[in-house]
Amino acid sequence: MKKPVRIFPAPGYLATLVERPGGLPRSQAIIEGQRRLEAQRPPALAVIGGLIETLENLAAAPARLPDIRRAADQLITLATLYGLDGLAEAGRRLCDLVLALEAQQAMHGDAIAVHVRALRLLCADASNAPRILDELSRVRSHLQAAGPSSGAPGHRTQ
Amino acid sequence: MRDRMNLKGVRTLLVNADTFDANLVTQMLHGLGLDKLDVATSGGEAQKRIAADDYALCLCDADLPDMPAPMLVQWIRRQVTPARFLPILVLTGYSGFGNVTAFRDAGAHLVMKKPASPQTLYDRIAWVARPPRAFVECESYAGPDRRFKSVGPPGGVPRRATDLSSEIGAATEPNLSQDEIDNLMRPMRIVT
Repeated sequence: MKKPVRIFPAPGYLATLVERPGGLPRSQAIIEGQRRLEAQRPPALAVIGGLIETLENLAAAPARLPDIRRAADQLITLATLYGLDGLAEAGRRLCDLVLALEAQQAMHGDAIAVHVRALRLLCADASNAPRILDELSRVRSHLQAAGPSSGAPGHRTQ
Repeated sequence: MRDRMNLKGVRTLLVNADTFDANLVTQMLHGLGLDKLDVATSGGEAQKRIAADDYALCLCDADLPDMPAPMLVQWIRRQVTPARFLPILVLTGYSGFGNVTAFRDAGAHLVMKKPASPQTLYDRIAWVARPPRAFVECESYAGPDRRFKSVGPPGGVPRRATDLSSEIGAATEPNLSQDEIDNLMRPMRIVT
């Protein structure tokens, strides 16, 4: 026999806790959170450098697309959090490329290597970001012109 | 938008296999005033901690090393203890955001995309801490009611003059309980 559907009020333990008197005002809490986040900037930049190195190693043997995607994902998170917009955008493009390759069960080692090289360049000097991102767009256009099995990213994940 | 929240003493479990990422989230949560935070580095460790302790909030990374994160969410929802009501906020990376429906259907309260800034973390926790949504339990699903939005008429559809104003103000009385709603719906024969 099928189990009946039960719909009932859930206990609001968390709601009760946060309503207690005291606690920080929103603005002050956010400032304090931001201050603590900023204190982690030097180690975060070191981790970004390590992630790019990992990606360079993975790009040399690009059979492990999920590993590349995972490392690129971490890099996007850190770069976005610390305002490294060019690096984050190049990471997103690498992610889009890998997702497309995974979906099509295709491989394009050269395109991955170009994106990883772009990450390295952007990490060293962000002032060239518009030109480097433009070059990555050209790689994308080239892949799209080559056809669907070339790993051309169709669209962003959102 | 909630202007103030007391997160002191709110026992929270952060499930994240990446130690640096977990440290960043921990720092931000401490900054927001949350002082009771445990970190689990795998789904299995999270299960042990949830079985042993009473948590008020769970922040779970979408990428766990030992099990799919939706499976952990489903496991929590199928507990017989009050742990099954645990508010769960899932943090997902750029490439995993397409899986949002998998987490919703597993019973997560909210899925948010990383990076979580202090502002988004505060606001999402505040959102999850609103008076709780109804809980649904059936064969195929256990978790907060997934139908909770009140979006009004679709775009481009004009309102009728007899429709209520969109500004209906705050509630002045407590919500009806499920029993009261059931009684309103129950047809009864009147014996005269």
